[in-house]
Amino acid sequence: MDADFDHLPPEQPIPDQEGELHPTEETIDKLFVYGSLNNDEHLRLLTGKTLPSQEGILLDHRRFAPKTSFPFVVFWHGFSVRGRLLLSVTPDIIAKLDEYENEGDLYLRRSAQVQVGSTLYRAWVYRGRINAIRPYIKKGYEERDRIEEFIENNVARYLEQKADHFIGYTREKLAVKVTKELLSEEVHSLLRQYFHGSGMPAFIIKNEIEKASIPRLNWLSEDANAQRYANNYIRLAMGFMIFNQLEEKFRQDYRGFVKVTDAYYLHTLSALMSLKLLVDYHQSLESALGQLGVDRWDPNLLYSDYAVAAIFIADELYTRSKPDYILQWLQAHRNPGMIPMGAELEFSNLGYKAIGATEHQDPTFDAFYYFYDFDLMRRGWKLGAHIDDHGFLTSANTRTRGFMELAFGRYKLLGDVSKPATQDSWVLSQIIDLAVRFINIRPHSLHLSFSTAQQQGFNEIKEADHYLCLLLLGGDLREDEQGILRETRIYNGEILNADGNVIFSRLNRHHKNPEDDSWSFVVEYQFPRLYYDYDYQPLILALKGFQSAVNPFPLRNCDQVAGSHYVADLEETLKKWATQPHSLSRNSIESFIENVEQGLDQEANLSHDENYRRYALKILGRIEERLKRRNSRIDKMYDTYERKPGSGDQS
Amino acid sequence: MIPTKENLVQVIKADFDQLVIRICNRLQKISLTHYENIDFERHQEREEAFLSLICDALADQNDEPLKNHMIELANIRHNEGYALAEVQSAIDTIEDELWDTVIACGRPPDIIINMLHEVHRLMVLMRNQFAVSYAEKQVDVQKRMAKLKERFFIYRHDRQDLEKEKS
Repeated sequence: MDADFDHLPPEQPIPDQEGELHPTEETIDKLFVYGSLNNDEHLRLLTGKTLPSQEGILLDHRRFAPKTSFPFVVFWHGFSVRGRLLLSVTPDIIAKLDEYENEGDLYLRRSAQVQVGSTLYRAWVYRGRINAIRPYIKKGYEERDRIEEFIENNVARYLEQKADHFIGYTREKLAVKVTKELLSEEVHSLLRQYFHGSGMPAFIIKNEIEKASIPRLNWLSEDANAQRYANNYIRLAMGFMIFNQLEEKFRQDYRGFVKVTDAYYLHTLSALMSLKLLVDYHQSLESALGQLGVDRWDPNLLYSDYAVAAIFIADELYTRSKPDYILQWLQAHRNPGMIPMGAELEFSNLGYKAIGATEHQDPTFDAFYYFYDFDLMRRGWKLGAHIDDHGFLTSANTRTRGFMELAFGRYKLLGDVSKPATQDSWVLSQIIDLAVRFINIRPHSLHLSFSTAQQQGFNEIKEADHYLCLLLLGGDLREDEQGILRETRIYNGEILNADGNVIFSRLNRHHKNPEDDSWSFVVEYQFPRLYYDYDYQPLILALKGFQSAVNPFPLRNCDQVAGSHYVADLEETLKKWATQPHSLSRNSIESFIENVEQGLDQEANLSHDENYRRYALKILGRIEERLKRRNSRIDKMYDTYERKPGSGDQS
Repeated sequence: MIPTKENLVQVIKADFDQLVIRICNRLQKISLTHYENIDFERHQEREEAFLSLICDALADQNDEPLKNHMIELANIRHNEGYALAEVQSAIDTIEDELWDTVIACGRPPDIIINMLHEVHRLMVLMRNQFAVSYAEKQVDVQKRMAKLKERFFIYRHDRQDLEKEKS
């Protein structure tokens, strides 16, 4: 039985036991494993091999398995540990495992007695060094985390070779850091493939890294049009690179706290922490960019110089901010529910006119025409950054004008590969709000996705007012130029297709892994406006609760309703309301709220989490309050027009 | 005769809800600013709080809470990345709407003129306090980046040397 780590005495030098061998001494071809290595998949990931083995008992040792970390054994006379004895272990394999186990630091490889049946064998065993392991326990570092780190370090070796070729600047290991930043998408893609395939031959890793292109800026001196916008693109690239650096730091330093199951996007929590830091230290960031002269295009600077500046700025911000406060903030607010969710955010200083924009119409980015020239998809891949022209993307490098879109969880644009960002409404709301603040380009629209089963029977909703409640909650009521109140998402035609259909919600599908042919389905709500400084929790929970309780037809891409009168009538109602919004009846709002409450209640029952139930109830109150407030605004609207000073009607 | 400040409080409070709505609608129309992208209700919350603060300061005949608020606001907006001009244009909008409210209040002209003077005095005070605090914050942040600048300077210098060696 494993011993409780808390009862372990402080580490003391343990004298070598009689007859005990050190790594440099006699060769032994057997290894006793009891933890991470006692798993064929892990062994394959680390060594590329599966080895023959027998069950065995390690004598005179005791096993410890801290809850938040990985197991280890220490010498302990009279105790024994069950595990496996690996046979035919070659010096090559031992060398790889020594590296993984950090032999001499984290673990000591020593010989020990292993009993198999009635026979005693001499075998190597990795014995833990308590003081070296303690910090890992504190960080919540588990077996998988160590394996990931080991593989990342292996990939980094090939990066070093690449770095020597193109930068050759060795101080502070900058060349490797810069290469890692510029090839970050490729490196993470390799790591995913490594895990998915339980290993990968070294030559493939080497080849993939060798052929990955390093972005350059020398083309810019020949392109006068692009130069007009270069400052803004460089600023955006800098933002993404600093974000990437911070995200990596959070993921490394708080690995135990930011990890999620394989079903979700790996970078969500570390991205959230990074965005929080960047927003909290916004002016420090701006000042740093300005003082280093990297907030604009400088023909004397290479792309890699900008990457160096990003690394320096990230170091400075991270050190200064004492990032533990962000972890505490995250831990104090998390409230995971049961439904996987995602979000896509569209940005453009042209607003809805971004689609079909002409050359130079957007004085800041030319509607992101040069996005790929500045290699921004690779810079912003962790946030799923790409250009959306509301057409079909055929290549990652096709120039087009449109919105810049962030798609959380979409880690491979081509092939439409994405995972849900989170199941936590607070996390989703925060990451949306922080991304809007961080990007600092006019926010335009928000798409919110909720996982669903493809075959799940959708229902026809008789009450159009339920859809109006959603629109009231997530749409954009504002005065037009003539001072008339409109719901602008529909009224401006922002969510109408070429046939005039309202793209309110649709059934959508994604691959979860590049190697996977199967699809996962989501209902995607496309009507919400993306705001600055906004709490999205009421909208997210309202959609989730409504979806869970009522499961309405998505209005697009759903075979069950294609071409039906029901959808056509509903769309007409939505358009009329958007043109001339009227307040909704108390009964409609109450009925809508009841449905949302029922859905959230179902979710809380499934989660068996009373904290989540309390959280959902609190937000339900905000949903109701927001609906009533907006309703009352519509009621007051005519009163306002009548009483406007100077209107001549003071009655 | 009712003092000007008291008069002004009465006029603002009588038109409070509509005044807030008008300000919010106008703020949402200031192109290419943060204000344009803020939801109406969020504007409403902010402006209700702001106008209440003005009324309290007038009623208490004490400008200090307003000054303190502007110092705090400068800190927040500076960190959020608002340009100074953005906030100044928002203050202009509020002043415009306050003027409209005062002019339409139906009081005798001399009282209206006194109230307009008072509105202007308050707005100048707030505008100035905001600008000073915003600038102080800017200088403070810049001072803290000296080491970073040096580190990048050394890098650029080394890299240039490296290139010279290569060539």
